[in-house]
Amino acid sequence: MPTFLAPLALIGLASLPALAAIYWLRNRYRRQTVSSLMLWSEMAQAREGGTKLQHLQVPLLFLLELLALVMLALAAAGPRMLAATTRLPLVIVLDDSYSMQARGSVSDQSARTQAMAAIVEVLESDLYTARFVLARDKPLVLGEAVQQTGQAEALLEGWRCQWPSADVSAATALAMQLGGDNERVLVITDHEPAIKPEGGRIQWWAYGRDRPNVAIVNATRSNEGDRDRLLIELANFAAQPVRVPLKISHDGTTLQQQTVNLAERQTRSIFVDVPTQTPVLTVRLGDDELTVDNHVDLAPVQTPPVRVGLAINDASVQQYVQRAIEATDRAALVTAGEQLLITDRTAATNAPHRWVIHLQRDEPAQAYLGPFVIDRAHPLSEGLSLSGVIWAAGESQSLPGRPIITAGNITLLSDVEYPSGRHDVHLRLRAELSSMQNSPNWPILWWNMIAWRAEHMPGPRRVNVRVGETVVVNLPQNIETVRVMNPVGEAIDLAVTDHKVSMPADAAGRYEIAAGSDTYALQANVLDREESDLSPRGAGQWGDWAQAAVFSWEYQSVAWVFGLIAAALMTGHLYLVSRSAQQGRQSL
Amino acid sequence: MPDDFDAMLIRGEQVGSRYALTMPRRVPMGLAGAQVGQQAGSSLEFKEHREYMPGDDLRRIDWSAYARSDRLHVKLYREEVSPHVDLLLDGSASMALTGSRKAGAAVALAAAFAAAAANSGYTHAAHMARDGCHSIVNGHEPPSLWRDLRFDHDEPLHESLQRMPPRFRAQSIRVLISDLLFMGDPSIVLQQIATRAAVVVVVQLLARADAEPPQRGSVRLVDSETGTLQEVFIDAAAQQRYRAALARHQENWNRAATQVGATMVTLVAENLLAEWDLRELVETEVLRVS
Repeated sequence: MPTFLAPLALIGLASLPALAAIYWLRNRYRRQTVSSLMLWSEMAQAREGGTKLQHLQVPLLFLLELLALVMLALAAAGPRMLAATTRLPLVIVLDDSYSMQARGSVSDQSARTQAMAAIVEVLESDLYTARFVLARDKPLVLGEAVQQTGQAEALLEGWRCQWPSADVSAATALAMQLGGDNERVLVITDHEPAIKPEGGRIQWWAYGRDRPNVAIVNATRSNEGDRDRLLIELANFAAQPVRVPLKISHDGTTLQQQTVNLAERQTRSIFVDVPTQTPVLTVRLGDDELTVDNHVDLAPVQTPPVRVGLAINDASVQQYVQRAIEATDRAALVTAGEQLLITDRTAATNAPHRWVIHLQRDEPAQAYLGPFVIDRAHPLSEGLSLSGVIWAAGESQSLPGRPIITAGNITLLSDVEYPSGRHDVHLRLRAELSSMQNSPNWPILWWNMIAWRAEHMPGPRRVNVRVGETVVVNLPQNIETVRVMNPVGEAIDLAVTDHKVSMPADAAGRYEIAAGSDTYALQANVLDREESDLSPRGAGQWGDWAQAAVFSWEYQSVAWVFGLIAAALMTGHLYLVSRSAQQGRQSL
Repeated sequence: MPDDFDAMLIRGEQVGSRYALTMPRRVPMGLAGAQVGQQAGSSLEFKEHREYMPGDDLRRIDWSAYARSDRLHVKLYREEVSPHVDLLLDGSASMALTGSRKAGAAVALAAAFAAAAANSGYTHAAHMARDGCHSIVNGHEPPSLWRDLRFDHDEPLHESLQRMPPRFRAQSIRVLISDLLFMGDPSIVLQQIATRAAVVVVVQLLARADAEPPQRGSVRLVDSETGTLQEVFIDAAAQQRYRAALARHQENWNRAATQVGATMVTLVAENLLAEWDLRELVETEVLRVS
């Protein structure tokens, strides 16, 4: 396909209707009644005026003039053809967010479907070698470069459009770096660009449309003891109120069904209680133009308590500790099989799964008012504020491991991490001289202790995640690899690092992680408020590679072809006109 | 807006009353008339004697002369002529050409001729060639009394003449008022009109749209009588060719008129009605100012 160096010259095509108007006006008949046609019937059959109009003559001249004008306009526009003999490198950035799936009626095509057709058309031109970059929260290169449509279609099976967000800018930046300065970049998305590309390396094709949509934008499931509580947040992004059916079911059995009224652009939270231990629940809204955000699957949240053992000789300290532990409601005090042992005794045995918190009562001791230095990167320090706290501790003995809290150069709290993943925490405190155990920092510190330990227990840290989130699964010590079965049925083997695996949840549905004899499951749901809002979507094409100076060397001008054709047409026109004039003179 | 024929008749009569018909050199013969003819007739004015010939009216034998010469002679008296004008109007639709005043001018001109004839002591009869030739109702009366004047027939003049010839009085002065824009042979038409006529006057009455070709441009011409369409592109050459064709046509009629001793005059209707000037008819000695 030729491109134009000066497309504005195509304005010259406006002369076509002007020419047509001239011919129309010239050939428009004025009706006139005459006494007799006898004086006209004697007219010579000349091609000049007075002859009976021969309609075939006029269109021929008209056609020649029309074509000549078209050719002149095209020549003036500077048509160019690609001169390159090899395929041109092209990187196609694909918006992988789920709004690309939006579609209305059966005949309506989603942005992804339209874009697929466009991509196939681009590849069928046999001009490009294409690579694909998926625009997600982080860009992802999709396979190797392809030239054939079939190869591209196979590759684009991985373009599922389920991601809750797409950082198109980051993906475009990556695409710009992939092939160097001579590479074209085509961005496929469903919204207009913030800055419209003009005459550069980037073309931006958008296939979106402003559509009404009702979506589940947030959904959680939490255990409330004898029941599970669901929080479902619905949002109506349409400009008119809607009534939507909401159904909560389990394995095809409807547990609850209601109709929800939503005003225009309203967000509404709904709380639903279900029996605890009910397996995966499906929350579903009525279908609309974007179906992917109309349902979520919520797995039961199982948070087994951390088994905590107390072996503290100091009765007052034990009391402080026990009260704080019990207040977390996430721990169970046990005497055997502890996962966390809190002790002030020195002879604590090592067990691979047991963490130990050593309480040290040093002599002599000194009360510190500060300044306290806190390692905010450590999970135990979250939420602590020691301002005004009196923390008394011995000063003679240094603590092993990484200091977490110090009073000057005196370490008060430290952490020792072992290669097995086990941690030993050393806490130095003289309770009778301190106000620490009476301050709000005390329960915070022990909450952090329990939560930290719970976080490192085997299994996924969260069983209900959003697509796009990174899933972390803690694993027992001797596990080196796990097999993950993702929602689209692919089995992926992942290596275990630091007794855990982490992976992105890149598709909505159920993930199963097989680790040795244990199997863990979690649910990924599509939940994103901004992505479900289809009102700012749009369509259009921006940018023109033909206008990019960087690609100018790839083109050669073909304006002379159009010029020659125009000259030939005008010569033919001149010949016809002169011949008809000659015949007219002869007729006289 | 077509002209009101009654008004045109009155106006034509008024105009014609200022003129009189010029006496033709060939005096029309008649049985009895207001003027003395050149030939022998039945008037009381004696002309001469001649010998009796079989067939002569015995009542005209001059017995006195027989007594003197013993030969039969009959008295010849000057002929009494009663001159008459027959007016023939072309009633075809082309005479009522849309946008022209041809029909009104034809009616007015016929009335003027009738009035001029009356001034000259002639009787008159008005005819119309329209689906054959018919006498106009009250056509022998003053023009203001003529009725049923219509120019709407799609038959050209020569065909009407052939189908039903007019009942002209012998030796009458015959005046044909027509645009002459038909394909018939002028000689045949004029021969038919001139038979036993004393004088024939042909007035070609054209509309201005007949005399001048249409303006430049593409024109869809419609024949006023047949409705036939013809699309032409008018330019200077076409206008020139039209004028040439009209001149040739008029020349043919003039030639035919000369052959039968007729006088032909061409008038433009709009000019006639604007000025009421019959100068061309005076100049050709068809009329004279009375």
